[in-house]
Amino acid sequence: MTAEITARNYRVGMWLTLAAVSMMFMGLTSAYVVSQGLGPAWQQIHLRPLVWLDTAILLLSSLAMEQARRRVKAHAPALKAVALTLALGLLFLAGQSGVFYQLAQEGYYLNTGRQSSFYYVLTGLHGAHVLGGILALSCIAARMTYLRIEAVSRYWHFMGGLWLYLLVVFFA
Amino acid sequence: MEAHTSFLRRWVFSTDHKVIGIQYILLGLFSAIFGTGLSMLMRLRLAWPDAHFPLLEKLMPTGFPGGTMSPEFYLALLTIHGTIMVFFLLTTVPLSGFGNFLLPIQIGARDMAFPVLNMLSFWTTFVALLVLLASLFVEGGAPISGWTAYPPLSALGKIAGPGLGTGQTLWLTSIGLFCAASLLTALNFLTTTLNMRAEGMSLMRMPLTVWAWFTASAVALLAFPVLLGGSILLLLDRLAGTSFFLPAGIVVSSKIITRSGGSPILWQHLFWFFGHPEVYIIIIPGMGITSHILSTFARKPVFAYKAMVLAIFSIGFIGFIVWGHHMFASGMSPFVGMVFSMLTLTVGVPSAIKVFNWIATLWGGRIRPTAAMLYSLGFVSFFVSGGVTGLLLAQPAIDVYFHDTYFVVAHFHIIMGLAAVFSIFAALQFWFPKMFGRHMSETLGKAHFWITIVGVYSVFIPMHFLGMAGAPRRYAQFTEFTYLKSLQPLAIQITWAAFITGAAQLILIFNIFRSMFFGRKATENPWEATTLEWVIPSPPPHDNFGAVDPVVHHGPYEYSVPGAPTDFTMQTAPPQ
Repeated sequence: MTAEITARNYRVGMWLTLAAVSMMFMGLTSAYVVSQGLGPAWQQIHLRPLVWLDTAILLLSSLAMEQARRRVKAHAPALKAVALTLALGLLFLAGQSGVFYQLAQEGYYLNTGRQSSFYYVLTGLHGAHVLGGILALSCIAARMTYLRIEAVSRYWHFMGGLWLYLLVVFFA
Repeated sequence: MEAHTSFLRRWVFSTDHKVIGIQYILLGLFSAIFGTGLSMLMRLRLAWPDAHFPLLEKLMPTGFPGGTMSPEFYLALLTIHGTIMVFFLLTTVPLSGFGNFLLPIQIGARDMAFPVLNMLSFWTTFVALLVLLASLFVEGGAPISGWTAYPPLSALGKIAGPGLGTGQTLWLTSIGLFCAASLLTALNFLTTTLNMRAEGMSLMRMPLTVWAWFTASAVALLAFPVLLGGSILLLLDRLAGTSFFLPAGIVVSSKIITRSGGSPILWQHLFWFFGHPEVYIIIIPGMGITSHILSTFARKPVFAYKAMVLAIFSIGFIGFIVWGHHMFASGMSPFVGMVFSMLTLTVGVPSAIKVFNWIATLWGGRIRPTAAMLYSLGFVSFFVSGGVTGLLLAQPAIDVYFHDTYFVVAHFHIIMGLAAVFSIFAALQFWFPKMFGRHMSETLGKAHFWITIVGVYSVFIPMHFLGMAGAPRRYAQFTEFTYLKSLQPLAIQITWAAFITGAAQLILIFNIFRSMFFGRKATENPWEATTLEWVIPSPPPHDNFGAVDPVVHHGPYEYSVPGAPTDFTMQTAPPQ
C-alpha cells in the first residue's frame, strides 16, 4: 500500500466509524424522544451544575487535542498536549461518575423511570466511547504519526459534539 | 507483502482476505447444515404432532418428553433456525464470505484496507455463533421468542417461558457481538472499494458484484448500530430492571409485573429499522452475483449497467424508510400505514428494473447452460415469485389478515431465504475453481439444482395456501383447529417435500468436498470471463497480482464485442 492510500484509508475509515456511531445514538435518542410521549410517570431530571463543569472540561480537552494534532503536524514534541488531553478526558469521565453519584443520592437509579434510564444509558454509552478514545490515544502516544493523531482527534472532537447533542436532547 | 508461514497465522488467525472469505463460507456451511437440520425436526412435528419418536427422546430428552416434541421445544427450534439462517448463513456468506474473497481481487487490490480488523471481524462472528449455540445447552434451553425477540415476553426472564432466562440473554449477547463484527466488515468493504481500486478501475468499471457488496455494506454500516442500541436496551430490561419496553399492567404466568412506562412497540421500531435493511443486506449481494453470472454465460454485457447500479442503490436507500410495513398488525395510524405502504410499493420499481434487465441480458445471448447459470436463473425465479407476494403484503388491509400466517412464512422464505441461497449455490459453483483450483462437478451441480428447485417450490407454494386458509405462524400444531383439519394432508406433503429437498443437499456437500480434492483442475480463466479475478492463477497467490499491479482498460462486461479477437475482452486487455 502506498502512503497516500494508507492516509485515505485512515480518513475514510474514521468518517465511516463516526457514521456508524451516529446511527446508534440517533436510534437511541429517537427512542428517548418517542418514549417521552408514552404513558404516565415521566420524571424530569434537572440539570446539575456539575454537568456544566463537565461540559467545559470536555470542550477544553478538545482544545488540548487540537493543540496536540497541530504540534504533531509541525513535527514538534506533542507529548505534553497529549498528556493534557488524556488527563482532561479522564477528568470528564470522573465528572460523569460524579453526576451518576449525585443522581443516585437523590434516588434516581438506572431503573427509576424512563428519563433516568435513558440518561444513564446514553451518557454511559457516550462515556464508553470517550474511554475508547482515551485508550486509542494512549496506544498511539508511544508511536505517534500524524495520520494516527488526525484520526483520533476527529473522533475526539466528534465525542464533544455528540455530548452537546445529548445535552440538547435531555435538557432543551 | 510476505505471507506468514506458521500454520496458525496462515490458516487460522490469517489476515489474508481470501482465507477469511473461505473461513466465512465454511462457518456458513456449518450454519446451513445445522439450521436445515432444525427445520427438518420442525416439519416432523408439524406433519405428525402426536407421533412418538423414542430415538429422538434418547437424543434430546428435554425436547421430546415421552417421545413427542414439546411445543416449547418447537419454538426454541424456530428461534435458533431463524437466527442462525438470517445472521450466520444469509448475512455471512454472500456478503462477508464471497465479498471478502472476491472484492479486493475484482477491484485490483492486494488485500482489504484493514486486514487485522477483517480477521477480528471473522473471529467475533465465530464467537457470536458459539454464544448462540450455547443457548441450546443452558437451563431452559434456547429462547422461544423467534428471531425478532419481541418484548414484553423476551424482556421478562424465565417467568415468561422456558429459554427466556439465560437462553434469551445469550441470544442477545450473540446478536450484539454479531453487530460489532458486521460493522467491522462493512467498514472494511466500504473503505477498500473507495480507496484501493487499481489504476483505470473507475467506479463505473466496477463489476456489479462490487457495487452490490459496496451498497450492502453501506446499508449494514447504518443499520446494525441501531440493532446494537436496541439490544443494549433489551438486555438492560432483562438484567437491570429498566422498563424501556415494558408497559404497566402486564400479567404473565398469573403474576403481576410491576414495571411500567415503556412500550413493546418501541422495540419493534428499533428492530425493524434494522430488520428491513437487513433483508436487503442479504439479497443485494445475490443481485450482484446473479447479474455477473448471467452476463458471463449469456456472453453478453449486462443490459443497462448504469440502471442496474442505480437500482441497487435505490433499493438500499428505500430499505431504510419502509420498516413500518412489518408493524401493520401492531396497530398504527391509518395515515402512517398508508405512507409506509406506498413507500414499500416503490421498492417494486427498481426491483422490476432489475428483473427486466436480467431478462434483457439473456435475450438473444448465446446461453451456456452451466450449473452456475441454472442457479442464477433460479435466483431470478425466486426473486419474481417471492417479490410479487411482497406487493400483496405491502398493503395494510391485506397484511392484517396475512401477517401472522404461513403466507408470510412462504413469502420471506422464497424472497430472502431461497433467492439468497441460490445465489450462494451459483457463486460457489462459479468461483470454486478460483478458490480451490478445481472445478465442482457440473453433473452433480445440475442434479442438485433440479431436485432443489422443484423441492423448495413444492414446500413453499403450498404454504401460501395454508396462509390463505388462515394457518397461523409459530404454532407447533394445527390438528386441534377444526377449520384447519382438512389441510393436514397438505402439511404432510410439505414435510415430505422438505425431507427430500433436505436430503438432496447431501449432493451439494458431497460435491463440495469431493471437488476440493478430486475435482477437474481449473485453468486461470475457465469460464472465459472478463473481470480481474480471472487474470490471476487459480487459486490466487497470497498477494493476488504478483509483482505487477493490474491496469484496467475496459468495462466489466465486454462480451461479444464486434471486431474483438475473442467473445470476451478482459478488463486488463490493452485498449484498441
